[in-house]
Amino acid sequence: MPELKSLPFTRIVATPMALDATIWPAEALAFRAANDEVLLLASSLPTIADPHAIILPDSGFVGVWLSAEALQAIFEQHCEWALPATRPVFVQGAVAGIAAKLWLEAERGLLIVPAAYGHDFAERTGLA
Amino acid sequence: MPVAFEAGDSVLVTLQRAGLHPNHGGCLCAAGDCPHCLATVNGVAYVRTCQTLAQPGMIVESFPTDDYPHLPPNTQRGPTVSARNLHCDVVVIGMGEAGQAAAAAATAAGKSVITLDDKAGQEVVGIYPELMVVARTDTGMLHIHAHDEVVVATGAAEIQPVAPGNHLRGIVTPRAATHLAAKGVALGRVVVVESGGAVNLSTSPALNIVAHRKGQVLQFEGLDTLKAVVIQDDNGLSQRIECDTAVVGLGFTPRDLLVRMAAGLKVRAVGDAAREADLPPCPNAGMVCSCSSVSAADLQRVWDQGFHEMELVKRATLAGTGPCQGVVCVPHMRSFLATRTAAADPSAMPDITRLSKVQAPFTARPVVRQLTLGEVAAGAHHHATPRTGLDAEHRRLGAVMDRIGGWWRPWHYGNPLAEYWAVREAVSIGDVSTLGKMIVSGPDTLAFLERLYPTKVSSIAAGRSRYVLILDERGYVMDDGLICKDSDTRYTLTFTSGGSSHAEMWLRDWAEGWNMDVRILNQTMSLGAINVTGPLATQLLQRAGLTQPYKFMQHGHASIANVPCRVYRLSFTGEVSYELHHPVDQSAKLWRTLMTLGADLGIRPHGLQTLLQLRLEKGHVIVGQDTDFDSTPRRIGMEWALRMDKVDFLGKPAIERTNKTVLDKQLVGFEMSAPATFEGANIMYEGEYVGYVTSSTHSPLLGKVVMLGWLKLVNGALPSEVMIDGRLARRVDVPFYDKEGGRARA
Amino acid sequence: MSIQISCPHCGKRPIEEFTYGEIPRVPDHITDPDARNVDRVFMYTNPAGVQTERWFHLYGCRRWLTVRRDTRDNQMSE
Ligand SMILES: [Zn+2]
Repeated sequence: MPELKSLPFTRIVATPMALDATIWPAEALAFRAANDEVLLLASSLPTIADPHAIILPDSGFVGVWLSAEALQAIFEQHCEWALPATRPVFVQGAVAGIAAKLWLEAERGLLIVPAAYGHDFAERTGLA
Repeated sequence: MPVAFEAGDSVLVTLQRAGLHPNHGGCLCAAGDCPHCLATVNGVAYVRTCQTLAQPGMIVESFPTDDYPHLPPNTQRGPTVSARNLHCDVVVIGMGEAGQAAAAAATAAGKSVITLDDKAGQEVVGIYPELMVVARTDTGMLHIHAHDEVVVATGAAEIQPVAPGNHLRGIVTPRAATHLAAKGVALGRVVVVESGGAVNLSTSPALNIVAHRKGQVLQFEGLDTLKAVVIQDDNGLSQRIECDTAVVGLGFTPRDLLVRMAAGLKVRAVGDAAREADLPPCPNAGMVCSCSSVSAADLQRVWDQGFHEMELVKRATLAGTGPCQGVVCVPHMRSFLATRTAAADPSAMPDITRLSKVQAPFTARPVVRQLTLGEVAAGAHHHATPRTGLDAEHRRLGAVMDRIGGWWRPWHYGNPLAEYWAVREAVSIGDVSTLGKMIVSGPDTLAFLERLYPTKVSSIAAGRSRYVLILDERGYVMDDGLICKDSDTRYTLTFTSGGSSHAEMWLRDWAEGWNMDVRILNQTMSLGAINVTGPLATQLLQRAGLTQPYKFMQHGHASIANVPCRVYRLSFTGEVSYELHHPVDQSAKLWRTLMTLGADLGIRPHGLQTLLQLRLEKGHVIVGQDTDFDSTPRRIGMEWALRMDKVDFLGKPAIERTNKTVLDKQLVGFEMSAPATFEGANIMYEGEYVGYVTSSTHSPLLGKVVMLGWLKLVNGALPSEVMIDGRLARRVDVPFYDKEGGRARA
Repeated sequence: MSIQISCPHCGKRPIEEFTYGEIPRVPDHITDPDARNVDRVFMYTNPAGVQTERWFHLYGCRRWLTVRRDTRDNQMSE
């Protein structure tokens, strides 16, 4: 069974305008968690056009890559809201009663939860 | 007793074939509508035996005759039931002709359709706002989210007879007679009565029909089992006919419970579920609602009391609130009320007016089927309690863990007294990862914080921290924490563990409300925090890599045990203390290295129990434990934390207002001899109640009990000696320990 | 099994994902600043009709959003 592992995110809080204008590294995954916040998985940091931006490494999230089928099984049991049909897509909301963030690609997806809830999330979804 | 069955037999058919009635008596419908075949099956009460297939080894128990069915003991945990969430455009409930047509039409219109049918094992129990249909299946609950509409095609139920003796065994509806006969159940001598509803049993040639009459049943005779029926024909002549089974046809009522619970939602009935209900004769005697034991006489009684509407009669009698949810009683209640209303109208011909006086059925409510707690709870999750990065470490060390302040936290590690002395005389580490930690950055940061906090934020120098009270608009203490200045445009704020969940919402709300140009990052769950405390704390940290000295209330960055840390020199325990905030995935590494490096210094981890004791000796208030919802800084004796000369801060106008009133109570310290009293104990003065204890502990170092508590002013002054637990206690100034605070600053 | 709220950033989610926060509204006819303050802090209107509410999307973007809710039927707009 795949395990939840700590993800080496960089957390960026900056003006929405600065985030909109940022060119993210080609290989990066940049998840827009809020209008003014990005969770970034990348080996290098782009320039953010906001002198007051907060840019910090963040090990507060754990995640696991799962196949589309494995994700579907989890969502069907543990997710009351409808997932969008488009791929790739970033969405967030309650899964198994825990605040989750999802990066969904065509064949697979990354399921992310705060590390503090990793234990309960794994237990509830059978990832334990 | 064991009974045989054939594949495909329902439990009801199986029992009937053996000459048994699942529930003592009452008309059977064999269609899932009435409550008369309910029984306890395999320990689950309220099972409709006509809708349940017989299985080998199944245990069926009738309900007690004079009591509710017995429930399993509450020590017995039922099985966990799973829920499946499905999404579609249209849900169609019932797969008869009308349902099939509706499903076909929706599919042809390009809609995604989910169909549910109880014959396929999908029993719909309710329709909820936002159009969610909940159904029970053998493999768990279905939660179906419909985007467009729900079509109810559930057909119609047969109306059951109301007359004295309708609780006997041997009464069936026409459909049930056909069904049971087809299944080979011996019904004996059958009398058919058409009471406004046609009955055609020609498809059941095996039946021994001794009489077929049109008219009303005046009486079902018998002790437990039907012996005869007394029928009155349309000419008023009555006749008694001996029989074993009575089949009474009263017409149909739509199965519309699901529609009646979904007012305002996109739910539509089709087919027989949308038909007009037939109206049975006015019930004059007999049981109307067997679920709630409401007789025709009971209807008359509440009518005489002035209850003349369906909704009111339901509430006055509880008719319609039982397992069948009114399927059986509603037609008779409507008939009764229409008849009485028409009769009360002197201007009209009662028989003709009756139909115009029929009231709509009462509103239905979910659920329409009895569910186990497991089925109700399917898909629901209780609030998850977060764990710090050290959770596994605490458990490995044998800590007693508890949920405190919204987190799993170590209460103690087996020897709280040793933990206490480690802090007071050597060095100890504690997990304070649960503290709220927020960063605020931006051009308006100082202006924002100046308006939020009652302290003068501009007087905090970079690299320094200050303890602050956090007030709401009413001037009441909501939380406390630290303001730490990083630069002119960037500050780090900390909050208590219990207050941290609220802190982010509070900051963002005011930042938006005041239109402040700030960025806010919540790092509470991203950073672990370890408190290194005790007279040897500095020595331990120097071993771990701390190169520069930190003054009291100073903060900075350092690599401790090769972990990048934000170091805060402060004190909550009363001893020299450093909080090390660090990436949460490195908590265990930092913790273990400190434990190893401090082994010869007598290091021990301390739990929350010890921490609470240590802080109480210092008189530090815990917001939420020592404070109440209306605790002003004046009442808790912390006006020193306010700068009333500031132009404005949150709660200032309210404090100016309340400061004009006479002080009525204060949070103060008390001492007395051992043993410690409980938190919440009454404080008495001259026989009168004057307050209560909020914190209490026996201080190992001071050799006496120290307490905080609320004390009323008596004749304008705080009593200096009071009774707690029937013992003399003295009011003293806090802190109890190290009044000058030299140890924390050492 | 629940009312849903549309978060402008995350989309439509069950209400359980949100935490409630009211906006106290001070009527215009109260002009004295002190009286306005008292009204804002202590007075709640509890209308049978549409009111402006703030909801915090705790399980998603963790930001406040403003909705108009009819207290009679829970219909939400903007
Ligand atoms: Zn959101």
